[in-house]
Amino acid sequence: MLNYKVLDLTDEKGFLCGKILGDLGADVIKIEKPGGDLSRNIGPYYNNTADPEKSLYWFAFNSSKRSITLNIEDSEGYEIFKKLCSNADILLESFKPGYMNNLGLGYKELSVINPRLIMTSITPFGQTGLYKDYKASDITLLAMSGLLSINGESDRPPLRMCFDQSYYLGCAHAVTGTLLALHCRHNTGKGQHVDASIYESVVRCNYREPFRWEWEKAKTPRMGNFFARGGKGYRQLWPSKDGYVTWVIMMENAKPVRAWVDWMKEEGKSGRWAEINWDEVTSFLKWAPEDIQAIQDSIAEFILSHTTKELEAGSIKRGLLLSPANSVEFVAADEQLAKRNFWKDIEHRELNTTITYPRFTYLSSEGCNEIRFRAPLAGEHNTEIYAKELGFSDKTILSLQKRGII
Amino acid sequence: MANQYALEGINVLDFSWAGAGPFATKFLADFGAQVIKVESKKRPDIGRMTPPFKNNLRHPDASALFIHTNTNKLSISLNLRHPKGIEIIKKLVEISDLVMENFTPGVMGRLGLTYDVLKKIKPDIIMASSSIYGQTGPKSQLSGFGNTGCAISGHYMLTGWPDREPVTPGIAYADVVQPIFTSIAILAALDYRRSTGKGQYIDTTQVETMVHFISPAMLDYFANGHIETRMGNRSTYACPHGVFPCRGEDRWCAIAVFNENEWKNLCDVMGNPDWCSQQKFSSLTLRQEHEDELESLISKWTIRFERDELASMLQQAGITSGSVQDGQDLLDDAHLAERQSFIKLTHPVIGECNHPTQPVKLSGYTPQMRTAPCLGEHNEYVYKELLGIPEDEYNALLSEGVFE
Repeated sequence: MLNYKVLDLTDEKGFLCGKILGDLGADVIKIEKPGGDLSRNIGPYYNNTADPEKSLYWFAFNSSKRSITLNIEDSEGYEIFKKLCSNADILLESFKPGYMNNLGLGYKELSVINPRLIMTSITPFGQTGLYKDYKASDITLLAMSGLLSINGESDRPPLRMCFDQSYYLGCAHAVTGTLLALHCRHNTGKGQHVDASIYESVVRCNYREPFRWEWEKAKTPRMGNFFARGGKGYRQLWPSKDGYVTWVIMMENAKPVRAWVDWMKEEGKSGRWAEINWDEVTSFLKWAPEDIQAIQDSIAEFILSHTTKELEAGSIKRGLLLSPANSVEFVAADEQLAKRNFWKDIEHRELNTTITYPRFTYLSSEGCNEIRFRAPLAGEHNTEIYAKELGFSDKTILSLQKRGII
Repeated sequence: MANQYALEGINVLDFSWAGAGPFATKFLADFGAQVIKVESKKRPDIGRMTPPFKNNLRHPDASALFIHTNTNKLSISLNLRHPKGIEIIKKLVEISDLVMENFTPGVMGRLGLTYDVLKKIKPDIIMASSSIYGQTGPKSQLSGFGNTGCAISGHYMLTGWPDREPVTPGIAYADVVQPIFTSIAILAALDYRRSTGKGQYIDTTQVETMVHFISPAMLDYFANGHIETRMGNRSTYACPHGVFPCRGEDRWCAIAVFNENEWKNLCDVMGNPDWCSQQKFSSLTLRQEHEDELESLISKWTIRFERDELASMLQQAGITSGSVQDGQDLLDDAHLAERQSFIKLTHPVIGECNHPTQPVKLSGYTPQMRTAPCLGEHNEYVYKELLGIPEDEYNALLSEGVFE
């Protein structure tokens, strides 16, 4: 889909941005420190063996990229980097604000070399502002964004989400900014600096709390498995016979509950709910809280007496708004994902195996959006890029290698 | 000059409603696309009926939540059940670059507005459909709510304390993730159209996008057969790594220590109590082995401080930390204010209030922010000016209920 050259200097905060562009067809070159990026040391690992070339975390977010090693802090490395930039469309980086400037590689300098260059910076707080130099990681960013304060249970500390959700959110937003800059470049001929703030990306997800405060002077407490809506909480996780499902009562729409009652009737389990004239019930807005609780309890009992598979089939057939809460093995075995050809086996020759990956982030009638090849080994494409694409002689490459520049 | 471009000139016909769709088209609208939101008076976007409301008035133009996902858009009311309503839609398609929708799969087909039909009207049209589970496949008809995609894709089961049930997110999380990918798909499609002249059909799902946000767990399962589970606030590669209590009620600070240097800094800030130098806390692995005890010792120290005081003290010592903030804190946050994450705009019914801007900033473009439209606010502009429907015909359509 996209035919651009991308240089990717990011660490784990920015991995996913280049991966999305790579899956879309861009030629993404990961530039690692000689010896390999430190972020290769994040688990889980293939075969549970801690090894920078076996990090599944690295694999997951660096597929569809090539890799070279380069020390951009070295004066020769700096020149090589500038050469790479002169011929690139996009530069991705996630260093502390000011780091690239201090090396003489800030957007201003680079745009002199290549006015068409788009530089995308993915940082915890953005390039400006009071917090720009704060140290941050996923958990502190989620904390500051207000998401932690509404995630978790009331008798325990605020709770983190899984993996590094804040980084992925920042990266996805960074891709939108980068594509937007490309769109602008088509009109103006000029690149620009895209400033993606991970913090703001997460704050944007917290769509409810700032406005609840502004309008109701209220804050949502941590409610465990309850879905907050209109200042109230409604249970959204229910145990089935063999697992968990998600379902929530919609106060303004009684249709799904009516569908539940119809199903309960068929199995002779509808009790008092069969006596209601459901044609007259369009919402629960006027129902007494005890009745709302009671009907949820009846549904809970019904859920508990059925398997997740039965419930899912019933939901699709009847429009119950229920779905399974899958653990990873059920995600992997999901029939819908299989039918949509969502998984792709990618060869890892050095490991003498193939690993299954999510194939695409979305489907397009034009194709062109899927994982293309496995993540690179550190410096795997040094020869390909330095010799074949930049025309360095073997001797130069060897010398750069010896001196730890590449 | 700087504001002349971005998505100016891109016309979007937007059937989307509720959360995930409008969130994506807000992005396009904030960056200059002309987004025409198609609603009907009988069935306005359900987002309009979501609290909080101005003066607690349940009115389609009074929802303070609605305005946050619909800034910069235009709104028309149109009766899609009326044959003339569909005719008008087809005229709008002629002048559109993109048609966006997030109905249950199949609804656009029943309206006679499939991609194939749209393509005949405008050969290079881009159409984006956003759904929970996809337009194709045996489960495409599954309907749900904002967290359905999160549950199916594995997020629920990976979130929570190891000794308890899973914890569901405090927000409709998939509703805010999927739209970013919808925006990506649309921008990539515009790029592709520029170079090939071709439009395309885009099918984004909550489930598939959300799987990418847990993909290390999927790889761990496929490669190692390992089923990842819940680990509370802990990390495999940092310790301590958690949320610690501070002085006051429900006040907390997140702290993450990634290496020995940071651990030493933390011990220094705590005044190097004797327990700090115990062998059992002397490496990452050892600290992880004794993490319960470590957390309880650190908590006894953190509880003595105010939340923000602690976070800033730790920052100064080079330790990754951050206050657990809430909605009120965000509106008071000096950094967000400086970055204009929320800006005040005046809505005709709701009055002056905060509107969120986009988290990504472009050096050469400042989004122009306009508040969200009232239901049908732009009927005259769209029907008369854009489509050129003459006054008498407009009035006739109006009296026939086409604009209901």
